[in-house]
Amino acid sequence: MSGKPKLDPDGWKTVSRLLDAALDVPPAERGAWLDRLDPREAVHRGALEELLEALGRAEAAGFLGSPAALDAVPQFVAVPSFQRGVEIGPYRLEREIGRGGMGTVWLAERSDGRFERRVAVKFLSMALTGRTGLERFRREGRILGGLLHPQIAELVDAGVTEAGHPYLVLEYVDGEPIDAYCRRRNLDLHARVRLFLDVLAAVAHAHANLIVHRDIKPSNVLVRTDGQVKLLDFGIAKLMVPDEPADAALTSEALALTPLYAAPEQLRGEAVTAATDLYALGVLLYQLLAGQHPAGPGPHSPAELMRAIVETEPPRPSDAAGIPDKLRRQLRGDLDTIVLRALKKDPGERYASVTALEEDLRRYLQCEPIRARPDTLLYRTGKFVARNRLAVLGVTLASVALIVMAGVAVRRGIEARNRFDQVRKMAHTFLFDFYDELDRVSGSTKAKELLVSTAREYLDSLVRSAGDDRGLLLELAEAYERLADVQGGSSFVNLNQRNPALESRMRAIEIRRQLTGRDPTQDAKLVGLMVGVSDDLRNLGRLDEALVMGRQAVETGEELLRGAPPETLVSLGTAHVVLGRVLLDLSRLTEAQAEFETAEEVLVSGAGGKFTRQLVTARLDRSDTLVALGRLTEAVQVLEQTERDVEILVAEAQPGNLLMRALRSRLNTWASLAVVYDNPIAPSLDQPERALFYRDKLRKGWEHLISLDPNNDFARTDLAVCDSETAVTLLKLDPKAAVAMAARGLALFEHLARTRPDDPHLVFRSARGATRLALALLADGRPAEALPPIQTSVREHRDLLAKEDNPPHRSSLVWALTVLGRVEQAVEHDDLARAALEEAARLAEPLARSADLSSRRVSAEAYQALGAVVGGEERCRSLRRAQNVWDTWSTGSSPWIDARREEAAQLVAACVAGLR
Amino acid sequence: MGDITILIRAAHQGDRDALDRLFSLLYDDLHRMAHARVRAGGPDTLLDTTALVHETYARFADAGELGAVDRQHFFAYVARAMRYVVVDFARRRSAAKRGGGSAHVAIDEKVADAVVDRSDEILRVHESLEDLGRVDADLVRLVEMRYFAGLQVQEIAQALGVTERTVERHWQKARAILFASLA
Repeated sequence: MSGKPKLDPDGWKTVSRLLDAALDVPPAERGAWLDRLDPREAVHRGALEELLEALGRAEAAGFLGSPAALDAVPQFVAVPSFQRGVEIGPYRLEREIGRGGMGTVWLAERSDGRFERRVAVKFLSMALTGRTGLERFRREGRILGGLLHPQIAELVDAGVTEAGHPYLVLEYVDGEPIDAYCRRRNLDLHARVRLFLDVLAAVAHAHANLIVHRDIKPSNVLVRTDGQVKLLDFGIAKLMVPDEPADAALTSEALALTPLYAAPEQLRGEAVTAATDLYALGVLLYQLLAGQHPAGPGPHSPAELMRAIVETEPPRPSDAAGIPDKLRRQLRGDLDTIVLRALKKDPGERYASVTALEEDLRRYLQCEPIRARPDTLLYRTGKFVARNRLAVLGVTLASVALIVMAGVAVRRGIEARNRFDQVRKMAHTFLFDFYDELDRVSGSTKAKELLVSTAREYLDSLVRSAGDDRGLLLELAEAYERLADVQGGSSFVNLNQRNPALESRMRAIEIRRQLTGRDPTQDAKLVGLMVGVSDDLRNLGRLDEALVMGRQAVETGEELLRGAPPETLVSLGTAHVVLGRVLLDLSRLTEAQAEFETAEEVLVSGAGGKFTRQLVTARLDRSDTLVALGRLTEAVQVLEQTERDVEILVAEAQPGNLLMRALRSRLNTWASLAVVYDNPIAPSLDQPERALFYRDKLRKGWEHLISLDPNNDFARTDLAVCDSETAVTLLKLDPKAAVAMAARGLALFEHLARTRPDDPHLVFRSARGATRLALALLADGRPAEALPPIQTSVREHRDLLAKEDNPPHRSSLVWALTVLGRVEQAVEHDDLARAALEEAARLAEPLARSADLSSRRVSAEAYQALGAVVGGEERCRSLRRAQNVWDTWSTGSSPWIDARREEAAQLVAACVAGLR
Repeated sequence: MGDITILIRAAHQGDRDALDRLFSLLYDDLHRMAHARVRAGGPDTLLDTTALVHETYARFADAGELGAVDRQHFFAYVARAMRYVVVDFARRRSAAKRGGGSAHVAIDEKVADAVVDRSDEILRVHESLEDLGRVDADLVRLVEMRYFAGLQVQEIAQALGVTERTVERHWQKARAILFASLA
């Protein structure tokens, strides 16, 4: 198959016709038949053959052989749950008379013959009440049963069938919905208002009994032939106590397609009160008077409806579209005011009670002045609507998603032409408007997940049909990026699912790649995306992939952005920085350094000479590289210059986000300085006091940032690292303090790891923290206590290495094993010590040749430690290996190394002598 | 409920408003029924779309709601609505299988495993039908009636007013083009 067959309308007509004919021909003769096609038709031969072949394979595979939802399970015949003659309590079902709010309704008669009484038995879907809700259902049934009023259909009984189906037995009402009634009888305005007053009387009675209807709509307000009004379906009415949020998703507005009667606060997921009923009554009144819904003549998609309900002030009834002039005149004035007051978005602004509404309507009928005040012009022009933006809480968000999905699905079937607009609008609403509100929602992970998965499916299907529409494609790319932010951003982790976020970003990249070359801003976004993905991969430890993506980012950036306006150069600079980091992790130091130098050059020209925090980052990375290469003096020079520059940055930053970022840059600078001064390898630099000085500033700085932004887990991670590294500095100076520091750091790591269990980067740092704690305990003469942390560390490192074998993981594991060996030795578990160190030595081999200083050092120490626990030939071999590593440094580059080298040489000599 | 006939007629004459309402009604109806079935039937229930379609039809027909002409159109509309119901369910099942979690329908693990392949197929067929709809609406209608509503060839022939042979041939065509699109 060469890919999807192209379906163009004209071509298809011909192919279709030919295919019909071909299928009439017996298979054996089809070849010959195809040969006989006349030239104009023969053009389609290829397609025909493809299709015929496809048919053959389809039949063989049983494709679409059985209807959509049946499976290998034997044919399931639906036994209707209820049928004529079934007995429910003392009643016998006669016939189904319709669908109520959430279930089927049956007409039933008393079967014990005691007296004739027709009732309506309303079965509710079990999905509504849930298995645990049945008790409450029974209880509420009893409460509602106490509601007696001539205009309310009496609730005779409530129960549950043996199968567990909840049902209500209601007085049977033979009537029609109030709007149909008014229309059919052509009732005049006053008659309608009077009828409506009867409705209000009923609702007022219910409210007086603390019962809110919650689902007032024409089909629940019936009028009998004798003109008597009856309210139905108090099936979901609740007492006026705070609703459990879980139930909100189960009400009719969640399951129904069109929330025509939903009040703004319902859609916002806020509490449902008597005022909500009032709103629904307002909508009903609007319809009875103006003949249409406040949102205007239909049809409306659910999404449009929701926006209208929550955000848009309805037109006055007298201003409604298409009503006769006479009616317009009658409505203008008091009736307008009354209706609009009932329809206020803010429940507090509506009539305080149904009774108040009743009174104003009566005053109108009696031509007395009404109480409600008309709206001011300012209000009407919508200036105050902004505060009513669609703010959706947790579970309502889920139901909104369902509604929108359902709505669009139906729409699709009808207006394929307008699909992109619809869908564009929907995607926009989904991911931009809703996401902005999303962060205010706490504890609604399920809803967020549903939103995310729905959005993802939708975007995927959109991409398939987007074709060449550049505008749509760009929107889609942005939508995927937004989705990625929700799924787990590169700045803040939201749902702890970093990999799906990666996938979404990759999609955005794929899309954007097709659109390059027209707009530098968009090009910069593409590069930015690739950089982000590369950095994420690096943090996940997937260095090879990170390298590939990083290089692509740089190549793309160089190609598209070199000549571009300065602002876009930041993206290119960052691309070089991130690539440099990946190379650094891979110990390809010279290459890394080249990248950082390029990054600086790009960033400097992009910023027009101004010092920026991106520049800080590039400088710090460059100094890290210098440290790794052992060029510590140079590193210090870069850092001290950066320290001066960053002070200016902090001083000039405006309060808020920018200041926070500047502060972070400063802290990162101090952290790098601390590392450098803490490094014994550097000749004149071995100044632990200076390191401690910086670490102290660092700690205070992180604590300050955390107090400004308590949700910032990254600041906490850095604080933990700070404590942990301080411990190492203190090892010789004050072992007890070192232990305390390391323990604190580790505790913080563990706390963080619990909140982000899938973050390998965190696990890595935490494991290293455990190693340091063990070292501290060892230094403090408490080897037995050091065992648990070091064993944990080794275990975690092994896991990490097994998942991703890269130099940092390897080096860190060797270090951990070395420490383990020393600890085991100190508690006299010689065999275990030996095992650990042998493993360390084995793993250390590639590290011995690494360009990276600390890797080499780690390997040398591993060999040396092994030498200490074994004897004979093996000992000499191991010690010699250590010596070899120390020898790779040139003499005189560091007294400390010279000392190590000397020491190693002596050990080797002694060992060899001992062999003779 | 006599409104249904009016709606069908109006919709068939191109009344967009009526079409919209008709779909809402049917979708709403089928969805609830389907939902109730799955809920009521316990963990091994599978969606028997054919039965649902017949039940819906029976409800309207028994109440004397449908004239002979309307019957054809009715089936076509119900089938379309059924398609969206099935797709909706398929989406939820896919999501549940991936751990997305649907708020309403509890999925038994075993069933989810058994059904998931179907769900993906259903969704992909649905997608392809979107494309096909742009060039051959009749074929799409046929697929809806046969695959999503599970109607028999004979019933479809009656509903559409063509011979069974025609239905069969068109069905082959549909299978071919869909299989080719999905490959």
